[in-house]
Amino acid sequence: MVDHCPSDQYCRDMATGSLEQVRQMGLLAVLPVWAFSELAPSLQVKSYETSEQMLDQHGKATTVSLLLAGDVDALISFEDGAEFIVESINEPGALLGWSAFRPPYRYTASIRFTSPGSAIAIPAAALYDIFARSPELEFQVLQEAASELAQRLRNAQRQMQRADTTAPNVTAQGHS
Amino acid sequence: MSAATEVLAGAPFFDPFSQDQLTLIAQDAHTTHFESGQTLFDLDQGADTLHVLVSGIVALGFSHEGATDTPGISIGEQWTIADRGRIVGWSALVPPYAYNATAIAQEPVTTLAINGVTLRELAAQDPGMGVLLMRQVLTVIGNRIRETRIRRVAQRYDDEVLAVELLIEENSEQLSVSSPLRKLPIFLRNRLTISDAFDAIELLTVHGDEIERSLAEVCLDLMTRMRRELDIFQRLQAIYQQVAAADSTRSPAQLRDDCSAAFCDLFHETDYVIQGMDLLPDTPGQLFIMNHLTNDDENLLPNGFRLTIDTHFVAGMILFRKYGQAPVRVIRKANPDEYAHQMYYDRLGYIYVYRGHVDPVGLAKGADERERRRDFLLQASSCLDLGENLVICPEGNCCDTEESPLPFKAGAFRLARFAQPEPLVVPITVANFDKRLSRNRLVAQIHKPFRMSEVLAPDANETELFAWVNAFQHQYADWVAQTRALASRPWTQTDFHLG
Repeated sequence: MVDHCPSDQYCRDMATGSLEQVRQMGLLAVLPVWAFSELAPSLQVKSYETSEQMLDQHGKATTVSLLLAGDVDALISFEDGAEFIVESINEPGALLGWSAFRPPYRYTASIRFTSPGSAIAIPAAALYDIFARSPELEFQVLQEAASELAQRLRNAQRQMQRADTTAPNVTAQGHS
Repeated sequence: MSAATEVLAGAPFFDPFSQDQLTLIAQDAHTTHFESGQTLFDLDQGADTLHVLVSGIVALGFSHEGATDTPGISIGEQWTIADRGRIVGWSALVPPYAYNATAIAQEPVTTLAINGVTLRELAAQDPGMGVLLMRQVLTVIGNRIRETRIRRVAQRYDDEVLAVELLIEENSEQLSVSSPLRKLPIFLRNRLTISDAFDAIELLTVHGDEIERSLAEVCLDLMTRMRRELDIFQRLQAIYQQVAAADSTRSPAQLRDDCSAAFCDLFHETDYVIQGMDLLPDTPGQLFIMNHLTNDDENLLPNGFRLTIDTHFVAGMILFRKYGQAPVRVIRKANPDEYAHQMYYDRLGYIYVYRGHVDPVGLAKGADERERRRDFLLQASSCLDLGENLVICPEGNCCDTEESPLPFKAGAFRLARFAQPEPLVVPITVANFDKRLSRNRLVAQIHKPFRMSEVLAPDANETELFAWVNAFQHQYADWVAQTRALASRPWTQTDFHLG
């Protein structure tokens, strides 16, 4: 994993305009200029190799991340070391680490890159500092997060539905 | 405090809200009633109402298919919400304000219906309230995502116990250290304590704290099939006791009928298909041959005995239903150490043979083979002559559906040639009875009956009989393959001869 110095990156990106692109992504698009400017120095763009883990299941959820590029899997691990992929995500701007918004503030799944990629890490504390000054903004950000998660929930439910209907034995009432 | 405010105050979702905020929300809320089977809302429909459950059970489904007012109709994978105070229809607070599921009342349901537009306006006017709403909604959605993942684990691995373990582990930090939920994985690992797990969960849905109630509901949803399996297991236990401990005045024929009736009740709770009922002869006194499948370990009774599921299905669901009398079966004699086996079959008046041989046990095991064979033929043909149906598994052993049928022994066919009047031989093929009853479709197919005199010359010798039996076994193997295919094929009622 490669961490980029946030402040230098901020300066460079401001010059090249790529920070403006980041600003349009996911949750960050909700933020007004003042809020984004305050948050920007805390942002960290991190690059990942294939198989590199970004978040650990059960870890303290102190960071909200947005996928910038690449493909990730959300995995659940079992005590015996087995893993189960619960979601595959490749949408730029996708919200990762949403457990930072809800108790008990522990990640519910591990996030692992399945291709080289990058993500932007937003410290939850920095977000909450801004929220403390603007409940309107907190409402908007949380609503945006809820909207994205609702869509992901729907996708997961559809996936489950498909798996159910394609199972070898479909359930039906007995008839003779 | 108004009735609506009281409902809100009792709903965990509204715990963080002040009394003033609850009063504001309650202003545009009203009580609604839904009859059993009535739809609260449909998937993708504009979400304009947030419901707080007051009483009843709501089923959530995630498919458009069958989203009607008909009770019991499929709306896809279903979750249930039964806990008073739980919210239904959170999509009314989340853009694009379209319901994420179809909600149907599973029984009469009462909710407090809150106007979603009003709630959104309140949130816009009072961002503090908006934040509280969104935090709660995020918690609900987050829980749903976690539950969906756990359900997928259960689905993928066909293992609800693993899913329950994962659920408890995921929520371990929030769960009281003395919560009975922590015992569930242990209870669920043993067939005999699964009922204790259900008892504990059901108590918690009423008396647990908020997290326990919520998890208990998820557990109950996850364990729907386990409940069916428990029910099946308990019925098997009851059937065994009904026969093995029956009053000595009950005759074997009465006990066979009792047993078949009890098995019919059990099989009515399973997913089964019977094809070819119209091919059954009109009168009893016939010889039914069938392939014999192993028993799933889940059916192992505490005394080490397994009730054979496939033969009881044929005896009860096909022959008892058709003729009003349960058949006599030819079964292997129990080994000396199989006391539970003896306790059961001794009461049913079946014809015993030694494993792999259609020989009677009325004679000493060392008796001359021809003598033993003749004794069996006389005993079995006497049954047929009395108008009893006989069921024989000509493999003399059992195996999995995929390996079935094994090579045939000739005894059943020798009997069909010997008995006078000559009985019809009715082939029946079965599939999936070696698998979990609650997770697989059980299939039985009845094939066209024949008489041995139609397929083999009356004076054919033993060599010719063996040759015919071997050729017939190949034909029978094709039928078993068809039966297996039926188990996995989508079907319609017109496919089947309805019994």
